[in-house]
Amino acid sequence: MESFEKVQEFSEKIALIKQELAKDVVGQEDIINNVIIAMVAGGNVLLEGVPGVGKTRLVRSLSRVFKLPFSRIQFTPDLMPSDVTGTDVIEKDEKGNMKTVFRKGPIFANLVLADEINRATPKTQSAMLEVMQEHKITVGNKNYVLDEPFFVLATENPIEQDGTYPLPEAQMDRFMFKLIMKFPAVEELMDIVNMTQITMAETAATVMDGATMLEMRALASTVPVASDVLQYAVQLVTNTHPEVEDASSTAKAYIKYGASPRAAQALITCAKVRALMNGNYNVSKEDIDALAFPVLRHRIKISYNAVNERLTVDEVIALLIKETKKTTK
Amino acid sequence: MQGGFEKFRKKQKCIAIISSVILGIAMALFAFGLTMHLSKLNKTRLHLVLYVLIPVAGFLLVASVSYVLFRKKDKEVANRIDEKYAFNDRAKTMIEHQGEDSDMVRLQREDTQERLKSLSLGKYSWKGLWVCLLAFALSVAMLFTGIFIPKQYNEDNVVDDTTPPPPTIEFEITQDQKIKLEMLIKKVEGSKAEDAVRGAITSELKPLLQNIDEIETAEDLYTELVRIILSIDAFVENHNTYKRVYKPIRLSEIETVQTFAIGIGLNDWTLRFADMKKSFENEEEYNVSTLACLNEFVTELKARFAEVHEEDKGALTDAIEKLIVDVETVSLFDPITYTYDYILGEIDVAFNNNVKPLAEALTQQTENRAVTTATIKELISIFSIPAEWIPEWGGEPLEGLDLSEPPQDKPLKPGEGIIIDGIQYPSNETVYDYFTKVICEYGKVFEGDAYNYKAAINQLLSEGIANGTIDPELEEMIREYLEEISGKDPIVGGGN
Repeated sequence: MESFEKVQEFSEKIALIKQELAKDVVGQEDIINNVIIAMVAGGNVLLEGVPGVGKTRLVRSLSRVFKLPFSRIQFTPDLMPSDVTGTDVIEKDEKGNMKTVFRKGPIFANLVLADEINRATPKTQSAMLEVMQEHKITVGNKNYVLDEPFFVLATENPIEQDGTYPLPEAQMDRFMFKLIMKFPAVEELMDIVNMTQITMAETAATVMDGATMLEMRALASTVPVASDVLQYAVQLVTNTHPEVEDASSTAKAYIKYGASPRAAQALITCAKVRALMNGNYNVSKEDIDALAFPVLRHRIKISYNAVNERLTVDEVIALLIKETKKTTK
Repeated sequence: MQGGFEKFRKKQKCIAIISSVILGIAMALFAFGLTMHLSKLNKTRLHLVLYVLIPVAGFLLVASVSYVLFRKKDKEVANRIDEKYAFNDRAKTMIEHQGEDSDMVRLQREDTQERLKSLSLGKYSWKGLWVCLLAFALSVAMLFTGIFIPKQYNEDNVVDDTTPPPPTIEFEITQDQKIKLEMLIKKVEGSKAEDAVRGAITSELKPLLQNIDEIETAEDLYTELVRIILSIDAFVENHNTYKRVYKPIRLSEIETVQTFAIGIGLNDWTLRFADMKKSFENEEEYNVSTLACLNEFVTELKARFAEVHEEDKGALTDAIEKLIVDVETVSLFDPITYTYDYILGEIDVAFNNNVKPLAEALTQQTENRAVTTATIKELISIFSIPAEWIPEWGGEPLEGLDLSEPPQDKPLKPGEGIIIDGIQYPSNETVYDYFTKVICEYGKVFEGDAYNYKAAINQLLSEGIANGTIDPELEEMIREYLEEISGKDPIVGGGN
């Protein structure tokens, strides 16, 4: 059956991607899985981690694996929006006439690495809003549509707070996932050191192109979802809001702002990809639970009570999942 | 839908059927047991069909309702599969999208069916089945418990102290009993009892004869008979009023008065009057005081009679009133007519004139009691009333007159005498004041007007003694009497 072959091919491709990425990135399997899910689902990813854990390397490896045009934008406080999007410049043509030519910015790529995005000014950060959501840029009165697939993988350094500009909620909502790259384990660090002693070059090979990814995306979108599972995902997102009627006790106690409807969309879209990646032909609640953390952690704002009780965002999300399971049983 | 899901659907159906049957049987046993217990406790027996019908109805009702409740839809079966086997929502997704035909949905369906085939049915259990089995066990236990417990609730152990024990004899009103009752009524109607008494008795017995066939139990019959007995006994008690009158007289210490009372009581006037005359012939007894006492008692007799029976104007009252008047008119001191024999004769006449109606009245009273007593005894005999059913009456016939009187707590009138045990008795210390016509204490006759009283006596005696015609013995008696009350010989002229 064609579909079965497609699914088989999907699984094989994913396996290959992981295999190739593992050549350049040691460990971080959850991060890799989630990045692949987000990319196949068509979402942007915010990577948070201390310096040196492999954030940039991962993105570069991804660009090699997917054979996608890659650009890196190093966000600094003096970075201007036009440095990101591009700008019109005046050039002299062959005849010597002056004409205005649009010089594309680094955003014009399929895979964009927005390094240390929180270091740029809000003005520059807002330049990313339109392109991340709509995959197009408006310069002057011209719209420039970007080629699909288009991903923005942004990084944040959680340590440095001086000279940084926290991303606004509107921009945070445009990231499908927020992934936290942890410091590698001892064994992983040993492997990293051993590997980099040999070579620092990325050796991941190309597995597929953008068109294939779009096909995978289309295939994943056909994965069926049971109404109970859909209700579960929606209830989970609703439970993040303390202001709604019959709000969850966790939200009332620990959450200041809840997640937007994009969170529910992200949950279902990514759950379909995850199900297919795991060889399942339907979305399950387990998929929703697994994806709740990367989808929700950057979309909800915990209250002072949670901080006072030394609860992290992920712990609050875990409480939400527990409460949602009880209420939807 | 073929494939692995079908086996789960079938198992669910089996669970529903088995659970429904078990619950139905449990309900049938419960209904049967309950019907039996209630029947035994109420000491009733239902029709045999009901003992079968009620459990069957219970079974059908519970089994059908249970089957509807326990039988799960495909979606519920799928939910259970996903839950029991950690099936990642495959089953419910398959069921929900079973109408779709897209490639992925079809793929999912096929994959799920394949996986379902490999699942064993063991995990697909239902805890509710144990609840059904428990209900069944409880019903069986209740049924068997009920079989044994009612045996302890037999009639011997049921204590009900509010109702009398049932009669030991079989209840049946025989024709012979009816005939005897009818004859008793006729006997009463033809008896010599007063009309009122006869009427009272027959007014109770005739309705009894008419309605006796409607009496269903011996208990009801005895209840009615006892009521009749007490009713007619109470009636004649109230009707025979002489008892309240004669008793004080009977208990008097003066022989004359006692004789009079006994004469009333025993109704043997000839003999008792002879005794009375004989007592009057006794000089020691025959004196003014004695005559005064006799006067006193008959006056008291009249007064008490009038008090207690104001409306009783029967023969007895008339006789007593006439007696009183005649005795009162007898005078010891009448110088013209006084002779010892004359007084006796006058008393004789008084009694003779009055004893007959008095005796007739008292005889009537006795006849009333006799008829009543005979009637009661006859009723007891006809219907064989057990003695314990008539405790108030005692079951013994009256031999003569019942002297038991309730105490009468009436205040004494001045000079009336003394009360012993609530019964009023004339005092030995009282006398009849001839002059004032009242009863007074013996020593108080001469108070107040005592001087004039004695002067009058002296005058009468002097004149009587001085005429020379009085019997010397009577003259001597009068002198002794006057000396006794005054201490001096009145003829000599002494005195106070």
